[in-house]
Amino acid sequence: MALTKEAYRALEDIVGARYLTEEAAVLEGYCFVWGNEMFFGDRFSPRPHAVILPGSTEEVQAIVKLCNRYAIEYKAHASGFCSAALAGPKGFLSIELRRMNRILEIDEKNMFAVIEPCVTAGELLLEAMKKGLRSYSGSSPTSSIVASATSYIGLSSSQISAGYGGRNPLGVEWVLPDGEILRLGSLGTGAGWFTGDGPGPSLRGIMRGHTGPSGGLGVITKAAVKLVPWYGPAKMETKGKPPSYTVDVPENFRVFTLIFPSREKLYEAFGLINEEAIAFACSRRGPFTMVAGMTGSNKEAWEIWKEGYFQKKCANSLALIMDASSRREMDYKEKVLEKILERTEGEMFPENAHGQSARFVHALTGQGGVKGVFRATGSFSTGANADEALVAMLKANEMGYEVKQTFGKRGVVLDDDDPTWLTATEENTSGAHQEFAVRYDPLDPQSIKGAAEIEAILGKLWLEKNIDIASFAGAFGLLAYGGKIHEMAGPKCLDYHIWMRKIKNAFDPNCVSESSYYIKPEEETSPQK
Amino acid sequence: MPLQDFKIYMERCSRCSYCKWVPHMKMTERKFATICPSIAQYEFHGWSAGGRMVAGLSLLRGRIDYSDTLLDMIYQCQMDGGCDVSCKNQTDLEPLETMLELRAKCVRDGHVIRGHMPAIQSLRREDNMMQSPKAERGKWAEGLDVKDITKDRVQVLYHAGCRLSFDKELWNIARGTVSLLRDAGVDIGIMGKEEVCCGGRAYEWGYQEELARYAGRNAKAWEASGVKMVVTSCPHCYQTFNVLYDKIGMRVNVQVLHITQFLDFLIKENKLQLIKEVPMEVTYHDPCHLGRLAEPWIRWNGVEKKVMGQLIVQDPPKEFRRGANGVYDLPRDLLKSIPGLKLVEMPRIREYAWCCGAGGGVKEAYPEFALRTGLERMKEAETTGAEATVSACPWCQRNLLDVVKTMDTRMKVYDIVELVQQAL
Repeated sequence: MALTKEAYRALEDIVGARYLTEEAAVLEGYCFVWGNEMFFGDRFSPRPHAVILPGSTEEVQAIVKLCNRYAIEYKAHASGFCSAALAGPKGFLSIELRRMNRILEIDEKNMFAVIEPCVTAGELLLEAMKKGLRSYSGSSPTSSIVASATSYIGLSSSQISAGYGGRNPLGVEWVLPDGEILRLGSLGTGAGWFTGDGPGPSLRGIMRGHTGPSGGLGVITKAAVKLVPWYGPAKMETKGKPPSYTVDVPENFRVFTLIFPSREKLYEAFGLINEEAIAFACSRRGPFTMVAGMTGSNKEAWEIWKEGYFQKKCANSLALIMDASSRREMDYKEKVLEKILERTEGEMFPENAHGQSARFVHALTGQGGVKGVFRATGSFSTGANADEALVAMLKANEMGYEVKQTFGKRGVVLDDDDPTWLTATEENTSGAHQEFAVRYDPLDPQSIKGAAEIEAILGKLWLEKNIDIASFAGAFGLLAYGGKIHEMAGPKCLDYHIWMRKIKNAFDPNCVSESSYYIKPEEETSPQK
Repeated sequence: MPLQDFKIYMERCSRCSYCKWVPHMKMTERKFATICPSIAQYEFHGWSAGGRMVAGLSLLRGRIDYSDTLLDMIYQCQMDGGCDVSCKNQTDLEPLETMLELRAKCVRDGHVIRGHMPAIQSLRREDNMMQSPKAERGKWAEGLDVKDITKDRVQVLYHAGCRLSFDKELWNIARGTVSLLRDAGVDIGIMGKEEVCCGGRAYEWGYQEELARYAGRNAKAWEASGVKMVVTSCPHCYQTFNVLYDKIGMRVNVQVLHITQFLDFLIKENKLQLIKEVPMEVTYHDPCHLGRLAEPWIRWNGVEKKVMGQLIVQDPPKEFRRGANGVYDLPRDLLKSIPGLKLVEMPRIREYAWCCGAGGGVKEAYPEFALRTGLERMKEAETTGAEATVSACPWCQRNLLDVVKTMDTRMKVYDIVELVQQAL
């Protein structure tokens, strides 16, 4: 149902006519996004009623209050780069936060930045680097740091050294679903932004839990996020031409692709690298992701792939980036790595400067993800989970690989030989997050169906085997659509879904904060199994 | 190619928004991290390459119909190609070509921008986009006593282009160019009032038939005159002659050079010597049509096929135009060869340069937007500490001069030829 004239005028009064629209041509840009075809059978999801662009917390609050008064469902987004940000089973008021893009403060001494929701990972990194700091990278340089820290997943290739999203928010300003403003952590007692916990309300578990409510629980309007030391230059120098720009790896960094004789050895090395805390970033990506990331086109990737070299050499490989504050620290880390390689029969794969640059840039900024996953077939689906128990992740990893290979060999998804990805998390001793990247063609119904089937099979398998249910349940917004994952996983995990629903209903009494990627406010009578 | 043929690219846009940003590895300043003037000004996603891809798809699928808003969304864009560079740094899509075809569809379907009509009517009646009588086309050269190639045989034709022919404030650039070429011993002539538009700007606005018409007329005239080379000060003309004519299968058999390329040649051949000091610190603005849009056309007739089950590759293999092979170094070399002159660079340069604001029909239909875009460029130029911005395009020159008039600045705007003249 479109907005009433009265409601539209009231919204217009808040932001001005320039920043509100219900023109069909404009709304189309807010219902077409990666992942839609998996849920809606089309690249387009239902069109929003209107799109509004607030410029301040006060405007967001006024919009949310008005939505409560007129019973208008709303959902806010930053970059809008996933189905959860823009889509829902029916129209709603889409709140785009792109005008709220200020870096309010970079506190060098206490190592945090206070930012608005549409500051991108790339932008914050640029500014932080000038002060010898960096933030965690998010999934791409265009992604919103606030969104990934407070609202949506928050996985990052450098999470082992900078923390994944959920570990990063400090003080947070939150417009609750009913329009009240809640300030979390030290901000709540007027003590500044420096901590997300006391003094002040420590509600990170409610605000985002493991992976965030995907826009289903009000709007985050400001947040402080942690920064960590950056041992590179204030500005990176880039050489070359598009699509093959190259950076020189800074002298305080090392970039390695490590290869192992078996998966078991790789897993052992992965655990040891985590345990020894020598990594800036450490991940298993697989040969096709490596090739895609270092090439300028599918054509180039295909030429390399045909030779079979990477499949043969890098089937069991890890990308490791190390940083150090001094020569002495780097010497130590290199010696540790040497020992790990001795023990796990690992070797360093010889990579040229361009390959090294690709790994380094991806670890630092997340850039390369689009090349790595979208360019090949047009889209990809993924299921992810993260856990402190590496062994559970490895099990999930093995299962994911087998299932994906079956579909790959049938040709319905990319037959890329990639194992599921594995990325070290900051729980150094044992943790990881893993993802299976299924590259499919969003224009090919059979391919979409194949990708969806893989997700369904893996979801069921993990559930049956009790693998990492807690994080699996909320780990990826794509799976969470309609809340059905929670209905499936909750009974196996302390009925967390009931608590989640209670939170939703308590904070959103009028059920206006669109929550199709979070949890349905009403109870599911017959959960899907 | 009709818009329908670009559907695969539209459908495969992931909405990553890379098209709104300078390629991330090239970002140096947050303040100057964006590449798209359109989204910067109009904010909604539709005012970006990704948004226009969606709009095109919606139109084809009948989900939306034409409206004033849709036309504004499509046309409030300089078509500068920055989005194309950023997108294709990561993908194998074709956002700029898709947007060109979207405009062509609008025109074919009879949905045109009112603000463009005076220029289009002028083109059709007077063979120029400047709403001026064709009889006055050669007036800029009065008193120069330059050869007329419709009467005299010459080796090199100087094509002034519409902007320089009719913008009196810029006539000194055209006149200066002719003078210095003659002084260098170049056997040069002009076409005077017989010169016609290249057709490139109309093509960019969606009027594709005009391009073919003017390609034919120019080819015929040049052939008849027997010229060996065409030199132009206008990057739009340069890009049209070299790239767009080739694109539509009407490549001419005459070498076409931009003035910066020809000056570089003359200097290397010792026919021009830059000897006088020009003690000045300047920054160079890359014109889009001399830079990323000037990359040679790459003809490809093939089909997509899938390997590895779903990997999309082109058969035969397709080389994508990704913006890196424009004319970037020669203008800089030219500036550096001027004694006493110091070149300092802006944050956004070469294939990721910010547009001056004048292209794509924006100057004609949305003049305020053109000025705002140019203002951002001039502010970026000011951060370098340079005394002047130098460009090599009369359209950039016009817009940046208009911008400077609205600013409280001591910064000047020069065409590159003006500085070369000072150094002779």
